[in-house]
Amino acid sequence: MAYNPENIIKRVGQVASLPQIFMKVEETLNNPASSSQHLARIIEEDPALTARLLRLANSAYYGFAAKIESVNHAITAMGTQQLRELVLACSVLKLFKDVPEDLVNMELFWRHSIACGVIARTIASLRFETNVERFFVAGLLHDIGRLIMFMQLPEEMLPIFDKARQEKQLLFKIEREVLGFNHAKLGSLLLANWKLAPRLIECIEWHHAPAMAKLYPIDAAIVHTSDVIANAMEMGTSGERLVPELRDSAWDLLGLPVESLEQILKTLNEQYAHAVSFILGEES
Amino acid sequence: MSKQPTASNSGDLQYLLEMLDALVAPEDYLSGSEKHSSKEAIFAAYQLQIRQIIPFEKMGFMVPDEDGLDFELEYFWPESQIEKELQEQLEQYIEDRTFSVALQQNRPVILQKGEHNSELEILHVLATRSKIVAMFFGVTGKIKKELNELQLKMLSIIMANCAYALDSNELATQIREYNEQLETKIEYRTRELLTAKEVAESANKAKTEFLSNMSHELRTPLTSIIGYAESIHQGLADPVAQNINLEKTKKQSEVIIRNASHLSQIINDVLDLSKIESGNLEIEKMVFSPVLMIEEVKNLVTLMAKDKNLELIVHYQLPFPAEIDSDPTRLKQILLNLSSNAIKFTESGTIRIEASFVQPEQKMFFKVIDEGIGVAPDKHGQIFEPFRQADNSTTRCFGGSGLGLVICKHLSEALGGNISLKSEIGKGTTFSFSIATGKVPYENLIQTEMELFENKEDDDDFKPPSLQGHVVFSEDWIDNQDLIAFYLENTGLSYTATSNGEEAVEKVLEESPALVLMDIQMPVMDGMEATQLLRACGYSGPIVALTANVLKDEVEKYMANGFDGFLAKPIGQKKFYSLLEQYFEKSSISKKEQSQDSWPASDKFKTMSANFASSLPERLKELREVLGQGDLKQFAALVHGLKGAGGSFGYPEITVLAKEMEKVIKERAIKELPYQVNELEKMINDIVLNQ
Amino acid sequence: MQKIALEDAEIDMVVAESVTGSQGQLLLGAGTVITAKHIRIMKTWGVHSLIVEGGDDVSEEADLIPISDELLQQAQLLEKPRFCRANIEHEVMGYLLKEKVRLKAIKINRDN
Repeated sequence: MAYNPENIIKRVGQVASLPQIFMKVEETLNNPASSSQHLARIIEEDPALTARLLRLANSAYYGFAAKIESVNHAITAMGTQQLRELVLACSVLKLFKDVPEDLVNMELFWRHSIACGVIARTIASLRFETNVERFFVAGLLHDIGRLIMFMQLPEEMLPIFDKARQEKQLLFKIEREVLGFNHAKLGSLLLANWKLAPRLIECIEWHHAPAMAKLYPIDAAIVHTSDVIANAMEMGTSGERLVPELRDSAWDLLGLPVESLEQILKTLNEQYAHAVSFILGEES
Repeated sequence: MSKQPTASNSGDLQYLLEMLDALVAPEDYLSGSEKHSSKEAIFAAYQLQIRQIIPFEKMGFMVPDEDGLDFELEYFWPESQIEKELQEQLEQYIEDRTFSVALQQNRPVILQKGEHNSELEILHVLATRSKIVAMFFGVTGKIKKELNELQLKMLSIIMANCAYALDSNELATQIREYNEQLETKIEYRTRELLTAKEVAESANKAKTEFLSNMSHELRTPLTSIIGYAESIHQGLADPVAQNINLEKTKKQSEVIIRNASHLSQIINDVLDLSKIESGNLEIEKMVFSPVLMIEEVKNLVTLMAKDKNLELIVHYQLPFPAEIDSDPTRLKQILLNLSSNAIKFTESGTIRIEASFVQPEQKMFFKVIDEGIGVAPDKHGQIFEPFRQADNSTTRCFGGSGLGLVICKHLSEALGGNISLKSEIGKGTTFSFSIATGKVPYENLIQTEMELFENKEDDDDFKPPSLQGHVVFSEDWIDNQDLIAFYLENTGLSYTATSNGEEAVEKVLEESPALVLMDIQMPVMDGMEATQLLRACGYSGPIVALTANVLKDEVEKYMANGFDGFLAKPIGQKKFYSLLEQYFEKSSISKKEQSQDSWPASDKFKTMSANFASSLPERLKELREVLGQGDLKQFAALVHGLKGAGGSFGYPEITVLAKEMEKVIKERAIKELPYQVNELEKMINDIVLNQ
Repeated sequence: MQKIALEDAEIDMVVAESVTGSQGQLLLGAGTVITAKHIRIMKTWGVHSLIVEGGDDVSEEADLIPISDELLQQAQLLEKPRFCRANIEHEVMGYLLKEKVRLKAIKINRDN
């Protein structure tokens, strides 16, 4: 049985497309002379998005004295680019609100995704990356392909789960065995279909094989490592029951000492619960 | 982003290019990079670049302290008055955590101030991939146009550049410092090497100089010895001249003896030093009376001092230990050396020896003070180094091997003390040294002057012991053979002389002597081989090595090869006799020591003794004459002569009387003298009658 | 020991566990007596809370309860199968496993 992932994405694209507001935000930001005031006005036109965005922003800035209460404030605190990342996150979260839960526990799925996002952001921050929210979003969306699988291939997923359990094998390997592709590939195709940044697409496509990333291997390595840590610490799950292998080359690429794990887990511990309640609070 | 930023019109593109130009412009601080670029210069260059992108009115950079934890405002612009204002604002941002937010993200944190949020304050961290280097703080005035993303991104780029510039500046500083350290180190090492080289060269030079001094020192006495010996030899060959030259011959032989003993001293010094240098100096610890030892030195040195009309004073600081635990031979060596040095370099005045004891330290301190030529201050250090005299020219004037002080230094250190000197040119020199004494109990401390000399024994004279037995000795040098024969005769031992090892083995096996004396270096068969052979043949009696080579290794070799002991050459009477006493019982006759018959009577000795006896009336006459003239000095000299000779030729009673007379002379009880002379006359008459 | 918010930290309190900054750098070692400068440093580096000596309110902070070896072994048995495909010989994975086992042990302890 052959599956064509492109076709699957085409089918999805018809039902799940990014909201207009995101497109508007993108347009504004693409104008080099555009101001942050302009961006704030556009976002504030969508009160639902604004509320969600501010929750998300506050989750990222948990622990800081000033609570972010306006888009304007969010823009000055985070910068327009990071705010854009959060707009994207909000849009996607909204998009997958109504996935059937017979195959997957959506709360666990998002918990895993949030943990991965928080870890990725922490690692990026330790590396003094300029736009750490980009990594949060990459972590948040890294298993989006699996959601597509649950939605589009529910019949196929059950035997895949069984096989993985019987063989004590990692789910993404069985996916590839059975379907000819894995969720990482499928997720990347969705993001490409949405015309998102190549950087984001690449690190999601290769989050199980970061060495394959051509232009942004470090981004891929960050998401890969974050996924492994989130799985190891059993913070939610996207269906995977086993802890994947950590690629040596990926860890080496980060250039972090092993001691920084303590800091990563400490930050995760501090931010995870708040991030979950800020992001999923609306739903639960 | 999926799309490249598009320039919607040429104005936008122009704007973009201008901004980029500001970034591309070469940094001012870099153009001056040949000089040392300081942090200040870097901040100054970057604040200019920053203002080209964003029109800040005030700016500052905060830098972490040495621990890297606490930030302080280090650079600000435009003028110093704003420092306080910036500082206060930054304190507030630390307080409300804005600072920590900014510290954790590599992007600008913007705070809106003023009416309509038209004034901006921006914090931006300066971080490299691995560390935070500084924090930027900028305040805009009222800005007409909002800041756009491009400006902020460029600010981030400038901050990153500045961070790396600061970091590399710091690294460069470290490298520079390291280089400087390295250079200093190299310079230091080079200097050390040069010094070492100079020291080595000068040591080498000193050694060469020493060798030439030595050969001079050795040759001078040798010249006299050979010259006078030849002259005596010639004199003896001329029977007619023999009588006429007897007095002259005596003087010549005295010169020979003096020079020979000087030569012997030099050789001993060299041997001592070689022992010291090879670490073979042996220190013998025994309990002895320091007073006796010092008095012995005093007697010896007094004679030398008298020759130069110098006064010698020995002062004991009370309380003084009756006994100490040290090496008397070595202590004596130091004292003699320093004293004879003092005499050597002093023309007139007093030589003073001071001895004291410090109970808590368990040390004795000695001072030898002279009023001589002194030592220049710059020579104080090297005077204790081998092969040095303060001035090489002094060697020419004063003689000596130049090793005495080196030996003294090593000896005093080996005895648990040290040595030093104080000196002033033309005024004199004081050598001070100390030695460890071991524990001296309080009751062993002499408290009064009286007690000091109570136990003093007068051992000026010694006699050859009377022994019985047979000795075989081997010595290839005929002179030494005669000497040994003479000594043996004095003790009453019978002997067989041989002149090589082979002969010795033959005689020993034939005669089974009670003692074998074996020279080491001999023709035909050397002493070592002979001894091995004797042991192999089953001879089990004692064999003593006669050798000039008494270094530890050699001695051990002798012992390993069958020898029982050794006797160092040159052979002194006293040493020789005490050696013999170890191997032979004193003969029964020796109990009647006072008896004339008890003296060994070799023919030679008989002749010598008879000559002495017959010269006695003449000497008595001379004594009376001198006493009559009141020449006490000459009288004392004559008495001294009698004292020395009497016992040696078998008339110990004369020595006893002479000793008493010396005492009287010393005490200036001149009235006593005629009575003593009468008594001497009686004694002499008896001797002459008994001849 | 007790865990307090940085806002509640006062001069002369004694730090019970070392405090690290947002970049993982050591700010204050255990046993440090807090000064005004220390508080400023902690604010500078984004510290939210710290553990200080004194107080008996330990029950809330599960981290502070000692875990028995027995519990750790039990937790190890439970966690090990999930790591069957992971390269636990890697230093990072080894650390993660150990930490997860510790957390699991705390959880078992709490659930009992």
